[in-house]
Formats: sequence, structure tokens, C-alpha cells
Amino acid sequence: MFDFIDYLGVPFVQRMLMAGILASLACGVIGTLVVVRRNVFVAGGIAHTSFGGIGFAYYMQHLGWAWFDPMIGALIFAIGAAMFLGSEKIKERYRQDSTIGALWVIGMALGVLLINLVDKNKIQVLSFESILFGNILLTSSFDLIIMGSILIIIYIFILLFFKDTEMLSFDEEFAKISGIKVGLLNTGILILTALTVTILIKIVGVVLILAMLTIPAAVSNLFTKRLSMMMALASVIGVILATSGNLLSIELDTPPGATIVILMGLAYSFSLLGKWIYIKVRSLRQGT
Amino acid sequence: MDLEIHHGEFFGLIGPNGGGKSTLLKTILGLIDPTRGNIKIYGEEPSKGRKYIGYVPQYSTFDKDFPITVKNVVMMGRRGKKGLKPWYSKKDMEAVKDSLSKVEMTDYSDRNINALSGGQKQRVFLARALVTEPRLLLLDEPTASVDTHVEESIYKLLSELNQEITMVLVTHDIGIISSHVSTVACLNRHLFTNNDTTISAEMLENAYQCPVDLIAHGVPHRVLPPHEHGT
Repeated sequence: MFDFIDYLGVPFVQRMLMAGILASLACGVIGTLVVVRRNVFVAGGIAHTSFGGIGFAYYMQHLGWAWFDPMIGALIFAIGAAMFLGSEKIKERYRQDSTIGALWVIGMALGVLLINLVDKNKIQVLSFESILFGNILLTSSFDLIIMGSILIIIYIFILLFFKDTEMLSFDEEFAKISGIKVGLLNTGILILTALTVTILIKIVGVVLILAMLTIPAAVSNLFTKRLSMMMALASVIGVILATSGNLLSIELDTPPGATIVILMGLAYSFSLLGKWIYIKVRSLRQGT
Repeated sequence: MDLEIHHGEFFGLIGPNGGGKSTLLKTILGLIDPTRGNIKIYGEEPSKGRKYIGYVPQYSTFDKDFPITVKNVVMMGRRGKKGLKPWYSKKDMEAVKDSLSKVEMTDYSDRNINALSGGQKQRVFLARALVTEPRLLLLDEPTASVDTHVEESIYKLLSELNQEITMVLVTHDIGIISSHVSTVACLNRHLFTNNDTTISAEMLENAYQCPVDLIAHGVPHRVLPPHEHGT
């Protein structure tokens, strides 16, 4: 029924699978940090703000800056949102869920407004559907190079600062006492989150980013007792789910982004159920 | 307030919530700058002097799903000595083993921290403070949320460690503290102390701003001076 081998020769399918794999590897590391640091909705805020950046880039193209790629716009807005939400002063002064909510909707509204102003006869604009829900089929070789570079940056960062990141995420006060530059490291992690979010827009779109970022990590968290293992397992789970979601979407002719997210949702539900049954069975055995 | 803690002391600081105990601890650790006055740790500013301090926080503030082993928690105590280097050395590993054995938690080193009981977690955080090779241990409510039996064993361990390390312990639990410490002070905006191990009714009333019932146990040693009844 499934003719995988036939598709694997097709270049756009190869790029699509590759994009899914690279993004999952980035999410294995960054998603794990987002989950253990309880930054899921900070990441959501960054993602939705980046939609404003995409609108901004199209608008700049409309004004004559043809080189202004939507990805650059998304990246600038994502990093801006990360710096804003990560700022100690902002966190101290205002409730974080309020600032996240405000940034979230302003980003979306700005995107809609600016894209609306663009002359669609002069400039080719992606459909809202592609931006919001992803269009992995349009992945170019250039996109893959960008994704690969971002992944390398993430890996270098984590190799150098794994221990400090672990400590900061577990116990910020103790990290500060031990001489870690807490503010700088927090900002670094948020900027990497912004980079990862930008990669994910291509694949699952602005709205579904949280799925790839958090579900593999959350599943992995159920079965690991070390942060490094959680990152590794989350990467493996992400690669498996993204690849099978991609192949399934070709087979069933469904939107790839949404298919991947539904698969991830199922995986999470079954893992929670599995873990629950495991704990019940174990406590029953110990009881006898 | 004016307070001097000498090397080798077992100093107990008690006081009601909101009285400034935590603020004082954070100021000693250099996390908050004092608005007035200054703090010296072995003659140095807190930001420098804190390398002599091992800090044991209240454990209840940690994320219960965080994936981390006991060994890795204790290893954090070596960060100050290790610096920016990405990996820990053999010497660091040895130090971790040593301090886990001091708190009798060697068997648990590969367990997830969240699989432990309250008292065991407290021992792990004590090990993390010890691995910094401190001259001074700063403990914030070390026996909050553990039962009396465990509490007693933790205090016994602290007394042993007190042979070499100065102890500063903060708690709102007046009952147990005075039978183990060498000096007690009460803090509620102002500091009250007799500079010895006794807590007087006057001290407590000043600190808590209301009459406090004092019960003298006499065991393991008398902590309250003989006092008149009915006043």
C-alpha cells in the first residue's frame, strides 16, 4: 500500500524529509529546554510575534526592498520578542502571561494588516494558510542550508554550556551564587528558541510550532531521568514522528504540518496513558 | 542591626515569616544589595566572600518533573571551582562521591532527585553545599516538610559537620533549634539575641510582637533559663 521507495527518489520529498529531520533535531535540544524551563507559552508568544515579521518583510518588499526575505523578517521579530520577554526588568514589572498575550496578538494583527497592504500583483505572497499552518513542500535547498546552520549553532552552544544550562534551568538562584552570568545565559537560550521557531515556520507554520517544540520533549520527559537523555530521546521521537507524518501526508494526501501535529498528539496521549498504566501496575505488584 | 558570627559557631536565626530572615540570607549571599550598612564574609564583600559559603535552599521550590540525577545535582556545587570549562574533572567527581558519602546518600547517586523523600532530598542539597568545600554553611529551613525523626537525624549530621564548618541556620521552628545550636537570635525587623543558646520570653515577645508560650524541655539540655510563672 505504501510505496515509500518510489517517493524517496523525488527531490522535493527528499527536501521535505530532510527539513523534518533537521527541525526535529533542533527541537530535541531547544524543545527540552523550553519544556523544563516552563517556557512553552513564551515560545508560543515568540512564534506568533514572528508572523508580524513576515508581514513586515512583505511590506518592505512592496516598498522596493526586494531582498527582504520573509524569513529574515520572522527572525528579526522572533529575536525581538525573545529579548523583550526575557528581559529581567519586564518580567519583574509586569505579569508575564499578560505581556506574552499582548505580543502574541499584536504580532498576528500586524502581520494581517501589513500583508493586506501589499500589492499582490507586484509581489508574490504566500497564502495565510501556508504561513499559519506550514508548507513543507515548498522547502528549498537554501532553506535546508539555513536550518542546518542553525542546528550547528544550537549544538555548539549546548556542548559548551550544557552544565550551566542544566543548572540555570534547575536552580537559578544557585546558578547565580556559583558565578554563572544568569541574565546572559537566559537571553542566549531565548535567542536560540527564536532561531528554532523561525525554522519551524516553514514546516508546521506559526500556529502549530508549539507541537514540534514541546510534544517530543514532553513525551521524552516521561521516560528519562537526565536532561541530556531527555534531549536525545526527544530528538529521536521528533525525527520518527516528523518523518512518518511527512510520509503519511503524501500517502493520504493531507496537509503535512497538520498530519505531523496529529501524530504527535496521539503519541503524547498514548505515552501518558502508558505511563499511567505502568505506575498502576507497579503499585499493584508492590502492594501484593 | 549588628551581628557577628564567629568561626565554628552553630548559629540559629529564628523569627516569624516576613521578619527578614530570607532577605538577610540573600544579602549574605550577595543576591540582594543591602540598602544601608555592609556585610563582610571572612573580611570580603558578599560577591567575593560567598565562595566560602555552602548554601542549602528550601527544596520545596524545585520543579518536580525536572529530569536530573542526584549525582548531577551535587555536581552543581563544583561549578564555582570549575569555571567556564564545559566538563567536570576527575577531582570534581571524587569530591561529589565524598560529599554523598558524608550525607550517607551514596546508594542514591544515580536516582532521579524527584524519586527521593523530603529528608533524602535535603541530604542531597546538603551534599551539594558541602562539595563546594565551604567554611560556612547557610541553611534555609532545612527541616521544613520532613518528619521529626528525619529532622533529628539531619540535626545530628549538622552537629557532626559543625566540627569543621560554621553553621548558620534559619528557621521558624523554635522547638528543635535551640537544643542543637550554640547561639540563637530572633529576627523580626530588629534583631534580638542573648549571645548564647538561650531564648528568653522577652526576646521572643520582642521578635514576634505577641506573647509566646515557652515550654522548657530540659532534654537534651535545658534551653530556657528557669523563669517565673504567670507573668
